[in-house]
Parts: sequence; structure tokens; C-alpha cells
Amino acid sequence: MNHRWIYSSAIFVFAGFTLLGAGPMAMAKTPLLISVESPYGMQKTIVNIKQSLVNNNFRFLREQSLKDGLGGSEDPNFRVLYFCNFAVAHEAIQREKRIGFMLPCKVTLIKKDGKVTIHYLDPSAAKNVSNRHLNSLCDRITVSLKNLVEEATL
Amino acid sequence: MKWCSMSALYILMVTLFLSACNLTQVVVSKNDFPDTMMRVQQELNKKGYQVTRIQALDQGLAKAGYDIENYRIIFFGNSLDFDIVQQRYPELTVFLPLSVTVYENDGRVYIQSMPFSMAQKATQDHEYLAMVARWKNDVDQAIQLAAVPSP
Repeated sequence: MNHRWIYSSAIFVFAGFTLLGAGPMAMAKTPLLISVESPYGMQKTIVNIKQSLVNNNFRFLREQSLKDGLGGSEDPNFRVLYFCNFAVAHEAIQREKRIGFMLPCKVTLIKKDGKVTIHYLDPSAAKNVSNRHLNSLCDRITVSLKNLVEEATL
Repeated sequence: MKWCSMSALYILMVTLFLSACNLTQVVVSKNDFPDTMMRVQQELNKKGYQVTRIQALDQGLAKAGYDIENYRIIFFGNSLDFDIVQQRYPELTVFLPLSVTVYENDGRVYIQSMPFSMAQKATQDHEYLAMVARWKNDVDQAIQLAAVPSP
């Protein structure tokens, strides 16, 4: 009887720790940040991204500096482009209201040591905070963003 | 009896797991939508943040032919913090500007913080982590206060 108690305790504790660890571990394995180096300068990369948006069903919203609206000196080496696929955004909100932090889509362009890099948050990261009904949409946007950046940096 | 206590322990662990997965703070506002929008901005200002833009996603979607309830994203930040991130952690600027989402669902108004834990997972740098922890604390407090009924 004592042995059964010990074995069952061990199983429950093991299962519990597995569950507790699964969330953070799954999140840690998700590549949050994606960075792609552009072979072009800042302006050419921006133009390329704007052109690629249409091919990937996005609509351009705006281009701004990182500190837009904050005042102080603005660094021209940081540019943020916002865009949206309205159909997908609408579907995402219908499925999961908490998706706002990922909307609208954006990429951040950073020029450092003469090289321009496009940085963005992997939409798959939203899977960590949303319900599973959003997973397929996250995957679709992940592919669209990947294609967009690939086209812009060809 | 032993099985009961073990089941309770297991349920507790599942609950803790689900809590760990809930990475954003969502509060139900006691105010209507316009009041909540105003209160969130006021509380953020009190904490030293400047609202830089309000993205009226509901209006943008409506123009594109999609109707949804009120859904706004408030972008905000702090110039000094942004300077630090730009200079020391440029790749982490993807998490900027900071944002809070205010939306309506079935007659209730919700205020949601951004998932700061995602930004915290992106690096081990202590100074950056401390800054994100401060942002999280400020925003959590601001949205809690904004949800309280207006006097």
C-alpha cells in the first residue's frame, strides 16, 4: 500500500512538473524575432517592401520613425512600416479578441554599420497568448511575411 | 482520501500551468468605451508615458467592408527609454512602441496589456529586463486604474 502511494505520488508530481514546464519551454522554443539582412540601402528596401505588400495581400498603412510622436531627436536609421491584411485581421479578431498586440502588422528597418536589416516579430508567437483557433491564421501570416521580406530583399 | 488530495494537487498544477500561459493582462472596465479610452490615456500619462497614436482598427476594417465592435490600439512610449533601446538593443525595437488594446465584446469593455513576457524572453540582459519589468508594472497599474468607475 505504501509503495502504491509512493508510485502514484511520483507520477502525479512528474506529470505536474511536466505541465508546468511545458508552457515556458514551448514559448522559449518559438523563435520570436526574425531578422533578414537586405542587400539594399534603407530607401530602396522601403520601396521594395511597399511594392511587395500588394503581392502578399497586404495594404500599406504608414511609415514612421520609431519615436514618431514622442518628440526628441529621431534616428533616421530606424524606420517602421505598418501594413495590414484586413480580411485576416478581421478573421483573427473574430476568433481571438486578445490578438490586438500583434495588429497591425509591422516590420522595423534598422541601418547599422551601413547594412539594413529587416526585423519583425514572428506571428507564430501569438500562439503563446491566444486560443488554438488562431494557429492556422498565424501560420498564414507567417508565410506571407516571410514571402514579403524575401521578395523585398531579392 | 489520498487519491482526493493527489487529484487536488494535480488540478492545482494544471491551474498554475494555465495561468502561466495567460501572458497578457486583460481587465474588464467599469466605464463605457469612450470613457475607458480617455482613462487609459490619462493613466498612462500619469505614469510618464506619451500616447503617440491611436489605431482605430474598427474604423479601418469598416472602410474595408468588415464590421466589428469598437477595437482600438493605443500606442505610447517614453522618449528616454526608446533612446536606450535604440542605442543598446536595436533588434528589440520590434517590441516598440508599447501598446494597450481597448475593445468591446458583447457589451463589455476590455483593456488588454501587451504580452511583456514575450519581450522578456528575447534577451537575458538585466538592464533591459528591468526596463521591461517597469513597463509591465506601470501598464498593469494604469489599466487597472482605468477600469475603475469614473468619479
